[in-house]
Amino acid sequence: MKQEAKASSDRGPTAQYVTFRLAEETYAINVMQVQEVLRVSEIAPVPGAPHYVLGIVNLRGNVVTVIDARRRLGLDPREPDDASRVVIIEVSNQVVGILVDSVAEVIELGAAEIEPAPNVGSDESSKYIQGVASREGELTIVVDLNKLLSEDEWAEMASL
Amino acid sequence: MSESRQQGVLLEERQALTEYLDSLLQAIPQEPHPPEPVPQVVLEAPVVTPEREVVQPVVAPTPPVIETQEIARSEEAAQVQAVPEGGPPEWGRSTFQCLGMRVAGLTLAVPLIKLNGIIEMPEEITPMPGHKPWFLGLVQHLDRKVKVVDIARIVLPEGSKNGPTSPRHVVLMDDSRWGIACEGITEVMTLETDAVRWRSSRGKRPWLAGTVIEHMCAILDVDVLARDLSTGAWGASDPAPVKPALRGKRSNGAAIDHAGGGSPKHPLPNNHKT
Repeated sequence: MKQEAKASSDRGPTAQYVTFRLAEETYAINVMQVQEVLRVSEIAPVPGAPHYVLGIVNLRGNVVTVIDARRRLGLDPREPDDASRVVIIEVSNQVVGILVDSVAEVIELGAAEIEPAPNVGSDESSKYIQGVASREGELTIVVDLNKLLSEDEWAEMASL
Repeated sequence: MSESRQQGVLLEERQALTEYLDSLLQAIPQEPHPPEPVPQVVLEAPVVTPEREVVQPVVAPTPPVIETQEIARSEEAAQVQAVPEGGPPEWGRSTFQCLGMRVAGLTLAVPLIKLNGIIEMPEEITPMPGHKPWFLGLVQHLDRKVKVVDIARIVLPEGSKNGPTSPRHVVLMDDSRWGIACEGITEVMTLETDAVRWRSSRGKRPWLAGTVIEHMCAILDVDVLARDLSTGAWGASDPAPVKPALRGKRSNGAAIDHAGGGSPKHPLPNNHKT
């Protein structure tokens, strides 16, 4: 019992994360920013939108912009399949969806378990990586959704 | 043949080998088809000044390279840690041992005292989005998340004609924070300090401590390399963003295309442009 308590304290304050898969890697986002997970439905393209914006969807009467997570993270785009999901998130008082390869599970991570992202000549596009956590022998990349887009980009999202 | 003439020839040959070795790490000339660095060509060059061949016996008191803690997180520490201006680092001031490793046709040597281990290139490597092409990703080793780098992308000039690397081993350094992916391990060399042509000035390649003509290899200054890796301060590094996780799971013997061609069969991330 004491050992469990110690282990818990070693992990630091914990939070729950939704994990999803992109290009065979596991990513995690804070569950508190996730509103719901949807199957991929019809996404209406928006002319003139940034390359990482797939389009908009009608979510119970509300227009929600959908971002292709692969494109945003600089990965090869691919067509959605049955496993693909749109994760509806709320960031900076905006609701957007991000298209991912699949949604895996909800996990609990302690703050101490998340190592800061390596600072190795990274460019601007990697600032959204909060850190890396090791789980069951695999590494999970923790994404800071607040930094997924810049302020200007969020403003552009709002204007779509 | 007089003794002086013989000595001159020896000096020329040694200089030729040195120039050849250096050329492997130098920038590619602008010629469309640069000539192969054949030693004979260099031998025809004017006689070198003997001063260049003299191993500098005593160097102005250079600050010893300090192995900092938490260097990856501390840019301030990196700034404090000075690059040796010339001559051997502390570990090279007496007889020392180096481990040779093959990288893209070149043999690089790292001082044993600065190594933390060697592991086989893991089956799985986790690439990180938005990082430089030379950063292959993270691997879990014991309680460390080792940052694995493709050293060939760093030490070889862009556009090098050397073929793709098939990394099979990872050499751990800087308290296992960093791993150098290499094709193979060659040998452990015991070197006398005067057997090394220490660089008189680190210049644009501060991580290059010197060259060993006998073994035709370049010696890396691991401390400086780790420092520069943590800051990403590579003047000649390929600015193209890496597409991480193209194939995060690799198999041994996989190739990395240093030309950035991005062949689909390469199971490690290349520097594709988006």
